[in-house]
Amino acid sequence: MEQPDRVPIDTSFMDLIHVERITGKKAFGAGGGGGGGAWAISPEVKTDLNKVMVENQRITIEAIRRIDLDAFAVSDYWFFPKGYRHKFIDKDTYVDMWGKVYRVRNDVRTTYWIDGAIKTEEDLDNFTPPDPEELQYDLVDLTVKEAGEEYPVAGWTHCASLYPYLMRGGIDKLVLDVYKNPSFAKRLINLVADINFEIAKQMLDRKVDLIVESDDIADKKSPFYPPRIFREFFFPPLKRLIDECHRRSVPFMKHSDGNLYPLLDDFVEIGVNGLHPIEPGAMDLADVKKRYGDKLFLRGNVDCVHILPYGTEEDVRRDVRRCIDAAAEGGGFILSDSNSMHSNVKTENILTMIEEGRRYGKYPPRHSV
Amino acid sequence: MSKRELLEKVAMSLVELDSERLKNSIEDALQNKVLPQEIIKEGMGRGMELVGERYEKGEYFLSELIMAGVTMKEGMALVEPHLKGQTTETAGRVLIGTVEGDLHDIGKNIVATMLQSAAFEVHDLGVDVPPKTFVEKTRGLKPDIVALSALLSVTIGKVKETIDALKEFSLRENVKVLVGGSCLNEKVAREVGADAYGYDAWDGVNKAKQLLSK
Repeated sequence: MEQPDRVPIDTSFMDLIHVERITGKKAFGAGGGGGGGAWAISPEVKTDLNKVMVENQRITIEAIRRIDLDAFAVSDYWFFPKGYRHKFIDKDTYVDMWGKVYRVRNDVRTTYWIDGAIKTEEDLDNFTPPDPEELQYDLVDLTVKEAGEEYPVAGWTHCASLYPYLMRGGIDKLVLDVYKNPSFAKRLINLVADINFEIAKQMLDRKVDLIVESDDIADKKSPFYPPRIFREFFFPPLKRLIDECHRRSVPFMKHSDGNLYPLLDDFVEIGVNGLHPIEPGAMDLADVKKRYGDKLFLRGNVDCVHILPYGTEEDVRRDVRRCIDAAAEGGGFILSDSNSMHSNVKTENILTMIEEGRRYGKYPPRHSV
Repeated sequence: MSKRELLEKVAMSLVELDSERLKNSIEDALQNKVLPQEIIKEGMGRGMELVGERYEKGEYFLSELIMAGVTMKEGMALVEPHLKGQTTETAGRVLIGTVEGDLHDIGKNIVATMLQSAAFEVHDLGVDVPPKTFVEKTRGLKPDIVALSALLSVTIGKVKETIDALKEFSLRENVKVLVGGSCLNEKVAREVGADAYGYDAWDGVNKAKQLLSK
C-alpha cells in the first residue's frame, strides 16, 4: 500500500437531514433514511422511487462537493424496477421487494426493519424476487459521470448474510434453518446471493471503482456464527463476488459492524482488500492496523454512536486524531464514520470531523515526525 | 448409570446442541427416578451454564447460544408434564422490554430466552414500550429486575426517561434496573441511572444473578 499526501476522508451514507442542511435544498422523503437504508417514504408519495433516489443523489453529490469529501457512493438499496413503490400494509408499515417488512417512525427519524415475509418453505416457493434486469441503474450512471476523474465511486452491495435473516423475520429463524434445515437455508441464501451478484455486476459494468459488501454479520461480542458455518454457507457466494471484482481489477471492501476478529484470517484468505468500520468498543483500530495493515486497507472509525451524535467539537477532534494516530501510518487508511452519518448525528460534528481530518491528516503523520 | 452421570449426560447433550440425545437422556433420567426439578436445574441448567462459559470464552457464537435456547425449550417440554403442578425454584422475576421509539427485538428476545433458561421468570413487554407501561407493569407484577433494551443512539434518552418514571412513581427502590443494547455501555448505563449493564446476552444473565445476590 502506498502512502498518499493526505488521509482520504469519506462518510458512509449521509442522512438526507444533513444533505438538506448542507445544501439548503429540500430532499424527497425528508430524511430519516435509517434502518437498513430504507428511506422513509410515506404511502402518499406517488413518485417513482427511482426518481426519488436520483434526485436525492444529485443533492447528496452537491453536499459531498461542498464539504470536501473524497468519494461518492451508490448503494444497491437504491435500485428499483420502473414505477416501483413499496407495498404499504398500513400507513407506516410496508413490505419491500425482498419481502422485508419495515416500519417508518418519524418521531425518531428512522425506518425500522421489523419482520420478514418468508415464514415457511412454501412462502419461498411462491416468492417472486426482484429481477436484476428490471432494476434501474440511472443513479449509478449519473454518479459515475459526475465523479469523472476526480472522485472514486464506491458501490455498496449485499451478498447473502443479511437479507436471508431479514426475509425470515429474524436471525433466530435463520439460525434454526442453518442448524435444523440446512438445505432450505442454502436455498434461501443462494437465491439472495445470485440476485445480489447480478446487481453488483451491473455496478461493475457501470464502472464503480470499489465494491463494498455490507452485510452485518457480527455483534459487539463476536460474529453471529462460528467460522465453520460462515465457510459452509456464506463465504462461497462472497468469494464469487470478490473474484468477480478482482477479475475486473476492482478492489473489494467488507463492511460489518461488530467484532470480526475471528473472521479476519478468512477474509484475507478469500481476497478481501479492505475493512470497515472496525467498530469502536468491539475492535481496536490500532491493533487491526498492526496485525492486518499489510493485508487490508482500513476505513473508519470515528464513533457515530456516542461522539458524532452527542460529543462536543473537541470530542470529535480527539476521536479523529485517535483514528489517524492508530491507522494512517504508511497509508491504507480512509477516515470515516463507524457506521453512517445517521439522522441523530450532529451536522456540525460531520464538518468538524472533516476539518480535523484535513488539518491533522497530512503525511507523514504528525506523531511520527 | 448414577444420578450424577445421568444429569451429566443431559447437560452435555445440551452443550452439544443435540436434541435427539437430550430427549433420550431426559427419558433415561426420568426412568431412573431422577426428579424433574433436578433434570431442569442440575441437568439442563448446568448445560446452559457451560454453553454460556464457552460463549464468554469465544468458543461458542451467537448461533450456538440461540440453538442452546431452542434445545432447552424442547427439553423443558419433555420434563414439564412430570412436574405435576409442582413449581420449580425461580431465580427471580424479570420485566423486560425495548424502550419507546425503538423497535429492535432480536437482542432482547435472546436475553429473555437466556434468562428463562437460567430459571428466571420473565415477563416480556415487547418493543416500543412507553415509560408508563413499564411503570404500570412494575407496579402490577412486582419484578425483582426491570431490564431495558435500546439499540439506536437516539433512544438513550428513553432509557433514562423510563428509569426516571420508575423513580417518579416511587418504584425505583424496589427494583434493580439492568440495561443492554448496542447504544449503551458501562458509562452510559451509570449516567442514565441503571444498576447494571449487560454487554451481551450471557453477561446480561450474569449481571441479573449478581444484582439479586447483593
